[in-house]
Amino acid sequence: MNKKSMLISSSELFFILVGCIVGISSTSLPVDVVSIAKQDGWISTIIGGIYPLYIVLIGGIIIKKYPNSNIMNLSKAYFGKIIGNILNLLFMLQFLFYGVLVISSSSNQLRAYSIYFIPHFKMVMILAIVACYASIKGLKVLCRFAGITFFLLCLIIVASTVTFKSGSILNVKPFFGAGVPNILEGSIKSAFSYGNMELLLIIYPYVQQKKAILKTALISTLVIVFCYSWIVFTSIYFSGPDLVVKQLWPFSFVAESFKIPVVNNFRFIEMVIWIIIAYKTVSIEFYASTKILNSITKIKRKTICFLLLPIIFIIPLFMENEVIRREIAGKVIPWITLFNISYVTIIALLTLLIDKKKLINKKGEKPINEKI
Amino acid sequence: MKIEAIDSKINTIINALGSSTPIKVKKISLGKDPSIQGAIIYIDGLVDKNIINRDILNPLMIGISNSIVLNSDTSNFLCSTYITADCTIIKDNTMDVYKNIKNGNTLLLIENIEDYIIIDTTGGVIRQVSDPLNETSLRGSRDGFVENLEVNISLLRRQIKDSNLCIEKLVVGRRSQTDLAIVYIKDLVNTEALDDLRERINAVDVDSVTGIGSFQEFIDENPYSIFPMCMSTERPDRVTPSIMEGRIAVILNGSPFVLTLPSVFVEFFHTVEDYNERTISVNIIRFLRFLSVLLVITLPSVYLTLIKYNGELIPVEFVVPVVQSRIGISLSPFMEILILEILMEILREGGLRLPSKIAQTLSIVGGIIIGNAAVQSNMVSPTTLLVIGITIIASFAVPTVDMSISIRMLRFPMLFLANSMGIMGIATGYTLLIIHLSSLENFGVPYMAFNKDDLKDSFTRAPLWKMNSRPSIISDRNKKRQTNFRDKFRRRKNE
Repeated sequence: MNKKSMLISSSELFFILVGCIVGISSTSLPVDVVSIAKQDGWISTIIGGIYPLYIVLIGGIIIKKYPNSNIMNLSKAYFGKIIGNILNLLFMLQFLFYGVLVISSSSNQLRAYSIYFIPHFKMVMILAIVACYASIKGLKVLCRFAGITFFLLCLIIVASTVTFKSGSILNVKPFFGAGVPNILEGSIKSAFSYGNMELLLIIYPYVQQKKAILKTALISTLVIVFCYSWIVFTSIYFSGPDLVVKQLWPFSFVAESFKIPVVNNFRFIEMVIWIIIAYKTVSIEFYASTKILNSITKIKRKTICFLLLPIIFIIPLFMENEVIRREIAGKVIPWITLFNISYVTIIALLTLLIDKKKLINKKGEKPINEKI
Repeated sequence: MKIEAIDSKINTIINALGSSTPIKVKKISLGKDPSIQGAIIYIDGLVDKNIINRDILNPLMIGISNSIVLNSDTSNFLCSTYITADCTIIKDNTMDVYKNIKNGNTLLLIENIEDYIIIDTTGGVIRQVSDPLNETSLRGSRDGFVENLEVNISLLRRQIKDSNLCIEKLVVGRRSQTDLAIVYIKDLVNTEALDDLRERINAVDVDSVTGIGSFQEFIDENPYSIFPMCMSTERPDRVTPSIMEGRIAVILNGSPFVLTLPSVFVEFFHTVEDYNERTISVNIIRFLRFLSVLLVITLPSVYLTLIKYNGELIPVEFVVPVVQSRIGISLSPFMEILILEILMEILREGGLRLPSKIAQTLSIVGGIIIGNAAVQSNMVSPTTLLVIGITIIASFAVPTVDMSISIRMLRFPMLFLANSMGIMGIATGYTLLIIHLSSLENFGVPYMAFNKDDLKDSFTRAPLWKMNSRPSIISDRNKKRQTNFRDKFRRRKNE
């Protein structure tokens, strides 16, 4: 097999970056934002996009200097093996935590919407096993999977445009009426939903066209910001800021307003699509965490998939209640975001400061012929 | 002594070919004063006797009026002066001679001469090129491949006159020694796939290769996948565009199907019509085709989910008729659908090989009587029958037989998943399907991947004059196949 096909193309990078962030939890995104920024929630969401943009831009420095390494190897090279690995472990845990959150939230949402007959335990088991299976297949397969789900996501976004018939523009007016402080505070809330852009720093050595990485990442950031702000905007437009906060998943409500004569309402198709999207998000996050652990421990990634499977299976079992889950997520995610920003920033700064030649013999520059 | 020498030569050849082969030997005398002895050897049934009589025996036995000098040049002299058959080869290697005789050539032996003269007399009865029976098309050509390798190659050659067209001949099967040809265009082909294919063909070590299906299985990269990995077709006008896109065609002697590889998933849903009809109508038809694929896989499972778990999602107007039709049905919805599905598969399998006269009876008994009786005896509800009927009809919209079978079989696991998990099962089924399809690779080419440039001919079809580059997924050599020639037609403004 040719070596070229082992690497991913830039469009595949785009799909996997979008796929890693936009998932089933975006249906509940409007609640957090609108509770603070009211009808201007969508503006906050756009501002919140600064977080992934920052990660991409600062990641650009690392990518430019070490196009064949990744953040785990760099951290080991800068901080030494022990501290570097501890930081990497924390970095891994956040992906795992996101995976756990997505599994439990999907289970909670799906059980509320029409799959009430499957208990939480079984739902989590199915999600975890499929995600494990998908991430064993490797990055290339996940990219193709994410590509298909991207089109499904587009279908939902397009379907939600139908709300423009039944919503009212008064719901989003007056613009900037909530006041700038509230909008900014809301944007911090929305920034937490933009987590996982750090995936770029793990997979960039596997991209074929090194020069296109930054451009692709920027485009995907824009698309993600557009998706999120669109989701928040349509939710507000359709339900109004007062009603959005009273629902658990406002965007599902929007998509359901799309009525097709035979299918009654869109819920069935929408549910199928959201489940597939949930599978994709969990698989990518699980892949990322196994990939990091693989670089820490040097155990085969396939074995790690099986080792980590109990974690994403057992922890979601404690988050059966959606309100409790959101409380946990609300407490932990700010710390994760803070850690990510500082971790990436420090690595990037060190990349700028420390001479390249010093590291060339260490693990900083590693050939990429390892299995992806 | 001389006569003995030629006899022993004949015996050696007969022994080598196998004594039970229907070998015909005719001894002849060539020239006059003095005449020399010769013999022709051929296998009955493989040759065209008219050629032997007219172009070999007649000139050699009657046409030579003087004596023939025996020297190293005699063979050449005979070929150039007397034998009027179009193709003669002079060989000194006996192994080549045996192979040629087995392929229907005639051997001419002359006493005291080392060389063997091989004369092309291949003939025998072969099927005429005719309309492909299993792949009819409305506007495609009426040519279909036949069982003969040479004829099939000629069919392709007639359509591709490019000087880079390469035809490599190989042999597979230890005992059957089936001839096989791989056809490709040298400067377009995906070289990695070609090397891989050659390696695989050379590695095939079996007694006999009976048909293209078994050959396909021998070289398959994912033999356990439910999806077909190589496209097999009877139509030269499907193979030609494939070769033009950088694929490789494999022609096996004795099979009217030609393989093209590496194949990709969407290719199996394309037909010749797609390129012969107008762009917009083709796109609508393709949409219908992919819609029917979705219907085949999911419709029974969706129906099952709706009546078993999610009654609230049934449209209000349909609830009453659906519920009423289910009153008094003894079977559970799942069993009802499963039994009906299996019954339909049996009907189809039964009808597949029946002579057309009996097939009518089958369609009446199977379709009308059983369908009617199943409903009246309260075994299945009319709605289920309708759903299954739609599924069966939709399954006919998949143009390729291999893919049609795979798609049909997929609805069974989907049905089981839907029965156990409802919507979750359907989504899980699709997820696993997507992951499986994404992980397949065929001769180094991904089975299902959507490159930006290749989308022009996948689920939709761009206008043919806009497809300026070959699909990059198959081969990345010489990608440009045409220019924006339509720009030249455009009239200038104010003209």
